[in-house]
Formats: sequence, C-alpha cells, structure tokens
Amino acid sequence: MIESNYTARFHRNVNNVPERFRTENHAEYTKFLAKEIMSEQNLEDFSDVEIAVELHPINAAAADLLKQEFGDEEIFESKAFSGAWIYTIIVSASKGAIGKVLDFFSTHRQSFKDATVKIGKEEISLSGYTMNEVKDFFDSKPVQKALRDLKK
Amino acid sequence: MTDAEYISRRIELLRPRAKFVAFSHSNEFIDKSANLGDGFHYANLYDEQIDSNVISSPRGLLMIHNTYLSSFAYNLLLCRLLYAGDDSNEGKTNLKRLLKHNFKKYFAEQLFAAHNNIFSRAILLETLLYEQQMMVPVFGAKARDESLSRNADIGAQLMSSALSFHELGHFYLDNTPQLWDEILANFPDVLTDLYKEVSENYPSQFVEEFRCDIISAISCFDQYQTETDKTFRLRLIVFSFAAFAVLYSLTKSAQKTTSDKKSVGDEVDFESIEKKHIEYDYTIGLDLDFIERAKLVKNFCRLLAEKENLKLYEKNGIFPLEENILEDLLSCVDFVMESDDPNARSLSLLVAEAFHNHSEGMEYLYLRSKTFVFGSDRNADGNLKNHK
Repeated sequence: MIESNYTARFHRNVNNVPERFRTENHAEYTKFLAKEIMSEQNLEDFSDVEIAVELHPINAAAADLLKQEFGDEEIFESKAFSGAWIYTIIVSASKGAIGKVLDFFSTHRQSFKDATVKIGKEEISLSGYTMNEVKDFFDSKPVQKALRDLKK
Repeated sequence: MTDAEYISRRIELLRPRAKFVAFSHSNEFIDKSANLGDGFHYANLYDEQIDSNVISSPRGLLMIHNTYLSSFAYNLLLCRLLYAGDDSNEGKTNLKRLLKHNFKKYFAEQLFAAHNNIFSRAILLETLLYEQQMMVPVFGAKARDESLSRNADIGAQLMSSALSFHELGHFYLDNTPQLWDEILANFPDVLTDLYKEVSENYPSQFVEEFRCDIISAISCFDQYQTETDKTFRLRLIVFSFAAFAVLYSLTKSAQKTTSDKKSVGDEVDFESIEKKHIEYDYTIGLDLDFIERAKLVKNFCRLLAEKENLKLYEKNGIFPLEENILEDLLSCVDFVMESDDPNARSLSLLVAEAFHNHSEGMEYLYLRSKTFVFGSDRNADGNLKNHK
C-alpha cells in the first residue's frame, strides 16, 4: 500500500448547520479603486481584445442603471434557469474600459450581487476579493496567456 | 459576419469553457404556425457553468441549452429507477450510497471547474478512482433491462426538456403577454389559488421564474403523453425539480468554497517528501430560492394529480415516489463529503498534488472519465466532422 503524506483531511466549516444562500444576501464588499488596480497592469497590447464582464443586478432599477452607463457597449441580458438575471458587457481589455466597469461596480455595489470578469477561461468574481487579489489576477500568468491567445 | 459566426464568437466569450457547441435557428425546428416572430438562435452545449439560459443579444434572442445538468439528473434518475420498489434495508442503503456518490461527483466537478487546485482535484480524484465503480452495476442493469433503459431514457429526455421549456417560457412570456392569462384560464382549479399566493408573497423576479417553471411543467406533461402515462410524467416533474434543487445547492456551495479558498496559496514542493498535515475547509449549504421553487412545482403537480384523479405519492408503478422526495434528496447534501475510506482520501490528496501545474493531464483525466454520446455529425472525439 502506498502511504499518503497527510494526517488530516477536510473540514466542513459550519458546524453541520447548512449555510443558506439567498439572492438578497450580500457579501461583505471591498471598495474597488479602479485607478489603483489598473495603474500597474500590463494591458498595453490588448486594447483590441474583447473580454466579458458579468454583472448580477438585484432588481430592474439596477439593470437600468447599468444599461444607461454602458449604453454604447454590447450588452447581453440573460435569464438563467437558476433564476439569476445576468447582464454581460463586452469591453476591450484596456485599462480605461476595465477601469470603468470596476468603478461602476464599486460605486453601485449594493445594487449588484456580484460581478465577474472573464478573460478566456480565467475569471474572477469581484465580490469577496480584495483589491490586491484583483490586481494579482490581471497580472497572473494564466490571464496574460489568455489575453495573448485571444489576441491571435 | 453572419449571425451564426457572431453568435459563435460571443459564446466563446460568454461561455469560454463550453464544449461540443452546436447551433441552429428556431425556424429549423419550430413550425412557422407557432408565430414566434423572428424566432431565436439556439445553441446546444456542455458546460460546467450549469445554467441553461435565454439571452437577449444585439442580433436577436439566443437560447442556450446546456446538457451538463441533465446528464447528472439522468444518473440520479437511473439509480432511483433501479431501486424502485426495493424496500429492503440493503436496497435503501445502496440507493443512498449511489445518490451520495453522484452528488459528490457533481460537487467535485463544480469545485474543479471553478478552480483547479489541490483540494478540488483531490475530491474529484476520490470520486473517479475510488467511487466510480459503484455506478458500473447500475449501467450494467440498464444495458440488460430494456424496460429500465427505456424509462430512464424517457425520464432523462423529460428532465432535459424541463430546462428548455423553462427558458422557452421566458421567451413566450416576453413575446405573448396574454399567454399567462390563457394558462390560468386552462387550469383554474389547479393554478388560481397557487398563483395568487405566489404573486402576493414573492418578489416579481421570483414570480416570473415560477411562471416559467409552471410553463415547463405543463409542457413536459403534454409533450410526453405518447411515451408515458400521466402518473409517471408528474412524478418525473416533481423529481426533476427536487434533483435540480440539490444540484443548485451544491453549485452554490462550490462557488462559496472556491471564493473562500481562492486566495489561499496552493504550492507543492516536489523536492521534498516530508510528511505534512494539511487541512481544507469547505462550505455546504442550501439554495433556498430554488428549494422554494421546487416546493411550488411539487404543489402544482399535486393539485394537477388531484384534478386528474391520480395518486402522485404511492409505492406503485414504474417510478414510486414519496411525498418527502425533496427533503430526502436534500438530506444527501449534509453528508455528501463524508468518506468511510481514509486511505482513499489520503491517496487522492497525494495524486492531486502530483497533478500540480499539470492542468492538461487533469483535464484529460476528467474528460476521459466521462461517456459522451454524440450525434452522427461528430467524430468520436466530439469535434464536428467537417471541422478543420
């Protein structure tokens, strides 16, 4: 028999009381300072690459807000089987365009359950992550590779 | 750029992990007398991002049918059908084990799709290497028993249709505003009080999902009348939504676990064979909104059964169903991660470490562990035959 390296395993972290998920619950959130996140990003060559940002509005008013702000962009409105209403904005992978989405999400955080930036198969949810983690995401090797692949 | 090219490119952005994508337009499969206006683009795909959805795009409506969720629902149904009517303790224990395995595999795949790290790989490997053999006799029985096979296939088709019909519901409600009033008029005994209760007590977004669920249930009930009897159909609809409630709970659990863990370092020192003590936390919870929807669909089916003079909950027929089916399936969530084989867990962790920085190898193992059934337009590897 091969012996494992380990002596302890997996622990459920809620004392056997199921955590409850409700659409109206909002996680604690971080105020995103887009300028700070984007200032050191290496995105110079990717302004012609398209990426998707998914936003989950809490109600129709929040969706209208989004449509007003990004009226010039390509927006996909989606109703999913789970009951989620998702708005996906297609933006260029430039500091300005991504920064605008981050600013919008941060300013109107309480109107959105979540936002997810998708770059190829790499993605990061903007709820529950710190600014530094978002910074690291854009700078990570898989994301930089995904951007290069999308540029081809 | 043609509409098909445009939709194809957009799906690559919206669903970058989707596999086996196939396109068509509703004009190709829905009769023009259905009066759908411009109709909609239709994409069939397989994507661990589980939702099917209807998307309003600048080039018209796009309906995405994702077969991922229904493939799991199919396995759950097959297990249930195999042990239908078996009241022995052994039968009940075996069924519980099989359901737990399938839920755990689903949870593992959701974790792995969300983040390929040691923990998600370990859970997935545990199900692939140490539990997958549990399903061998189930598929063996299906191969031997024509009746079981037929009922499972019909059930799987209905469960898959339940997703599509729900999405079509959004389309029809947007395009035919009088449709809901017509449905209420057609089912006054069944829907009047239920809809009043829902519309008075739930937010508008939830009410729309409820209406689409009811459209889905009615469509499933009508569409499969030549293949199955009414009782089987109603029981399948109740089971489908109960199974979906568990699967969505596990999806949200995986998302929460991933979100909590993503910033934790995931390093392996290949230079050292020192024994270590590592602990991983995970979160398991319930999707209360979807559970509410499953309960409402269950109520609708009960009322429809009463109107049709059918017995929804009885231990008879090809698919016996208990009234507590939802609670019974949800109870599996509580012990989905339990393992009675510490060696399996330890070794799965070790192999998961060995796969560190080898995502291609893990992806290969993951895909090879599945059986995909393709139409005649695809090669055995899933690529389209005319694809270059």
